[in-house]
Amino acid sequence: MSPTGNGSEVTTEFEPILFEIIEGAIESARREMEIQVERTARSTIVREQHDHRSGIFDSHGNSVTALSFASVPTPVMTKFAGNIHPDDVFLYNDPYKSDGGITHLGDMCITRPVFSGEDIVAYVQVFGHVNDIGGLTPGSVPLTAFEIFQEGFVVPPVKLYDRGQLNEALFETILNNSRFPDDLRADIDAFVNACGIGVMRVQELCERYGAEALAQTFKGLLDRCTRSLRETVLPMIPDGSYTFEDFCEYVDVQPREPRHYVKLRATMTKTPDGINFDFSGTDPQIKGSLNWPANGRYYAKSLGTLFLAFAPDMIINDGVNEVITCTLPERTVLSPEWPAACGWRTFPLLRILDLGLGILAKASGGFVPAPSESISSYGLFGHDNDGEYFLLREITGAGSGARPFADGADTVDVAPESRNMPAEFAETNFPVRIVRLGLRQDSGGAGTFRGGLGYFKDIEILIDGEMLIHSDRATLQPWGVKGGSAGQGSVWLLNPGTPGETVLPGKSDSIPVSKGDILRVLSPGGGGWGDPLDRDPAAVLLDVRRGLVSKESARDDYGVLFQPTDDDYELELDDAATQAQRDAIRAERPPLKLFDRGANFYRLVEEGKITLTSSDEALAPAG
Amino acid sequence: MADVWVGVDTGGTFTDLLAFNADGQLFAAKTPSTPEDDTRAFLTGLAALQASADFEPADVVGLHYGTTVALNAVLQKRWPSLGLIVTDGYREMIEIARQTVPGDWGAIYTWVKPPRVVPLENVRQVRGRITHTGEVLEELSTDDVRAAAEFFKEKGINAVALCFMHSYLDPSHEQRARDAFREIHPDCFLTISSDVLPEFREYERAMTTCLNAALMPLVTDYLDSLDGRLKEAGYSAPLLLMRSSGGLSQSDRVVEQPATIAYSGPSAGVLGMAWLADQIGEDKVLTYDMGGTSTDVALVEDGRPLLTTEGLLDIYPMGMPSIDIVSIGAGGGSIASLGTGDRLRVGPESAGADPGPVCYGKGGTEPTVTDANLVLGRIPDYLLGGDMPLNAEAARDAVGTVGGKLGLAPEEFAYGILQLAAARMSAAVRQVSIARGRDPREYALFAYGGAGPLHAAELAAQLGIRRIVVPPRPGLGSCLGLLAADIQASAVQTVNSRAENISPERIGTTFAELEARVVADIRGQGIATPATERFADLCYVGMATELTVPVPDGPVASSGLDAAVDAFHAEHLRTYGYHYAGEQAVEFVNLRVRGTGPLPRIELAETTPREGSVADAVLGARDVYYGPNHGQQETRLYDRDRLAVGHEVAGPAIIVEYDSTVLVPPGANTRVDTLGNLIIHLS
Repeated sequence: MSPTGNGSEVTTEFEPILFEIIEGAIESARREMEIQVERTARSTIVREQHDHRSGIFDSHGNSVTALSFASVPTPVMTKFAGNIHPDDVFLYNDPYKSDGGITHLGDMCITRPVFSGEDIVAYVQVFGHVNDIGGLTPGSVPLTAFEIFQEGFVVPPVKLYDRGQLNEALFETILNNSRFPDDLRADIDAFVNACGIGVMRVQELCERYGAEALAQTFKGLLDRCTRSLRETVLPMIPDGSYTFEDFCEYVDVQPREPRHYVKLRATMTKTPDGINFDFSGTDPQIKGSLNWPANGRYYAKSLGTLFLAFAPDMIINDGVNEVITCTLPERTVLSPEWPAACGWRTFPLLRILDLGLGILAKASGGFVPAPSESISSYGLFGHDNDGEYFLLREITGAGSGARPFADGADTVDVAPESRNMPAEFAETNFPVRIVRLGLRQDSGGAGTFRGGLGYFKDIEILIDGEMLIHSDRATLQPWGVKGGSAGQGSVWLLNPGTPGETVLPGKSDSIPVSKGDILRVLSPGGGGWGDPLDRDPAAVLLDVRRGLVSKESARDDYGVLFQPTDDDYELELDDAATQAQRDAIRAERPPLKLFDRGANFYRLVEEGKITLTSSDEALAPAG
Repeated sequence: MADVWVGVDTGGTFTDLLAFNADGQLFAAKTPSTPEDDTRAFLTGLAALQASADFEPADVVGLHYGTTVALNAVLQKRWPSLGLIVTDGYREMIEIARQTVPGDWGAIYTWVKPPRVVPLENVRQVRGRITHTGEVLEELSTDDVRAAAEFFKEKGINAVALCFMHSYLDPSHEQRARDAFREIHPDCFLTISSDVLPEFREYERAMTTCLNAALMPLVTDYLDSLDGRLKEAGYSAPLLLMRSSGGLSQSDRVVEQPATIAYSGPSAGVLGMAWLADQIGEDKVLTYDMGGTSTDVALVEDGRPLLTTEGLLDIYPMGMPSIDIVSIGAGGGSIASLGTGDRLRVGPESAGADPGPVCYGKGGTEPTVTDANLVLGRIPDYLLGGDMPLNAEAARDAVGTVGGKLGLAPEEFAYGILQLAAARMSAAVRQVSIARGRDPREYALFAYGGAGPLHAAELAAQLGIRRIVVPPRPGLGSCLGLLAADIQASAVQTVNSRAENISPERIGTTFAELEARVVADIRGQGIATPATERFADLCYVGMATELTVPVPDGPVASSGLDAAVDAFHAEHLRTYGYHYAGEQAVEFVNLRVRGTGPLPRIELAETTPREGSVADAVLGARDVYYGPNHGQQETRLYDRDRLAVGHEVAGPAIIVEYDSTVLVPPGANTRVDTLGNLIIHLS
């Protein structure tokens, strides 16, 4: 039986049952908070791209809900120890005063305490990436920034509400620093109110089951995460040490930074007792915005989610730190020193996911999904035809990597439940016309399972203004796995097919555009998985009939040929010619590799512009 | 013989029928469903009802139908090869969808994109472009339309959806394309987006249109066949179908918009509870329908179910208004199992009807919610009035095996299973209520469906709800709704206009057009004097979700629009806890009109107090386990049919009736109200 609480009407349940009820209730509360954020936040990045997180923490500051791996309440707990009261609301966005939990300025973080009587029993947090907090460029993520002060205003942990009373001067000052103060206000109000729901739910649990039962359960939830990793996940991974390296691009963005490619490197050492990620060999921090000021606790939780693949019903919370540890050298791009800029830590964040896949590919002999580069964005700003200042910003998804069991998906975003901007919404609210909304043929890496396709989107610009482009993997493609080919990298074109056609840089803070210009967005395809010559010819036939793969690619990459026809709807396979073509390709090609990083990568290696210090071959047989 | 109105609800297992006549008499019948052809059970049930109620087919003046034919077709993807015609440049729009991976972090690695409703090779593009202001940027190419029609005709594709950019604003290109298409391919089912859902956001509108096209051939055939068989049997009353929005429509309307009847039966159930709530003066109601595999919850305020336009039909967006029902996989068949780290889950995996719970003895091995109820003594050890015995020992073994791993005795674990099932349901309730800013504690829980009344007390306790209402014949909730519904029609128009520069004339003209359309539709169904109501969807500029508020009737002056803006601020406050009145600009997104054509409604006669005491209703007693707080207690069993108005029963008690079991927990009290409802007050 569980201990009774201090209230007189506390409901008693059997301990294992109460445990599940409370776990379910706090996960449900987390989702309720997220629903509230999405319905009320104003910034498209929060609302459509779901760049926000809600979390519930125990009284020591440990996250007990799933996916709350970023922000933590400890900065508030430390600074305001003894001075935290019911209905206090705290705000901060300073990465360097966030204990590694908030890693770029755009993430505004709200913290609220939960009291039972005099005691704090939990903390509730919401953070989300708001539209604009000042700085060099609209949207507040200037690629050229080399110090955090160029990226917007920096708020240390402060009380926005003191015992329910809004600090109006503080709030007004904060809002006054944004180009879009109405949006910022709606976002912060959304986070504050969503936290209120979390506070209410935890209080209800306290009243019903008692504060002590709640504390015991929180502790048990951390233990369960630890135990699940130890007992279920560790035995599924062969012991050993696996290293993988990959790069972010920073080509000619900031003259102070001569490096064009930034290396991330991790070595996973798996023993029977735990997993260590050692980031030695990762490049020093850069004079640019690609630094990621998180810490080992963050990286452990974030990489911990990879292991959900082995036990999807686990909840990854702070209990992960007992099993997964990180070794992080100082002053790297993953451990920058104040006041390094960090607005585009998004790209190392995406790359770390790829490092995880690469490491697990080595550990498993290639039985992992191929990577994708599923977050790119562009912005258009200026004055619309009514003279109003605007910022249009859209995240464009990409093809996801192929899996050992299925093709990649087309035009998706790694952030779950995220959404693109409907063309009719864009045209109604901004001076643009969406001329084409399509898929990019042949962009997915070839394989037994094909990478998903990226966007082929043409946007006509209806005013004179300026554009921002924020993308990676223009040169270094999403790689293929176990014989699969790399997907195509991103391409941005201005006025394609005209004499003035220009290839735009993948990273730029300022591209002047004129009324009538067409921007073409070609987002990356996902990497392929497995030998393309093993792909079912019927699947290739369907891809060609649908225009997803060209006949040339079918012939050259997949070795598939068709009966002559003038109506592709009635296209049929030429089985004999296909067999002959596949035999011919097999006879001539070099042996297949565990990773295909794409032609550009190997060229840059030859030119000495990038170097790998670890082998790309599998070190151990499949576990 | 007096006029008779009949409600027929096709469910997964049984087809239920309920009728009333002008004398206020009620009749019910039940027959096994015939999923291979629903019309058979429909006719069999009608014949049975006719025999018991002694009426002639010619006496029937109203036939109201709740059907699963559309939903099942979608769930089983039973549709013919479909075509889609889109604006040039948008061929891949439904492949791209909203770039969404459903689920949680990491889902991008595991989620496999499902096949689209229309395969890409069947999508054709047509030149012609209307802008967001209604300007014609490029004339419609009827040559392209004709080429597309020739293509579909040649390929034998006979159901086609058509969706052009900004057609919600100006449907002329879609209408001209439809006319040109029909000249070439006249036998094709063709549906255009400006008819189906004239709202902006092209993907959602296109998908709703595609689903409509997908369902047209099948629903048309089905309703033709049903109509033919009814005529043969001598029934000449018009068939009215329940739509997901909670209104009835004649079948000739429904075949044009078959996607609107997807949640016909569940919507009727909510409507039945809404009507009942209105009868007994409950203004805030949470409806709770629990069956064998799933649980549906919805909110009703002032006798009206709350609607949504953000619904899903299976995995597809469905933008047409429907009752906001949240459905989760928790029912009697839900399985309790242990996962990683001994994580205990109840559902959504279900033992279904086959093999069913362990106690059915048909091969089920994993303990279910029904097994837990049996172990605790909350249900008798037989089903179907004794025709189907249940194996209590097997249930106890299965529950004990899993519970033993957690150190719990069978009764303890069985009790825990029910608590966890209630916890999952309460999470669903919180999600439907929080999205609306409602506090469930202020609501009364209306429990129906086979299993609702048995689990209502636990759910209410977890939500902090104090009052439960169990209607008479809780298994007939949907039929009740079918006989308490009106003919309804609705129309919508996107306007996308800021409140400060809106033109009252333009709004007035648009409302007048929508009202004319709705009134004509309802008059065409034989109701001379429909009532209409106006609504508008508003948001703060830059928000992507709107709130719907009423707009005053009569000539539109700016004052009426100010009232709508004020109502929006108030609704924002109520829903989200704050507002920006006077501080941020407001936008009118959509205008809506709902028309209602009243029909005669069922009446529940007030029962007068009867002779006899509560003791006469006692069937016996047994020991039932109520968890660590209340332990095991002797519990009386009552026959609901023998409980009369004004009778009170103190918990613990179990009240049994034909199609359901009601649990009154220790400390609670039940009273029978004048309409025969059980009103349970929790302590």
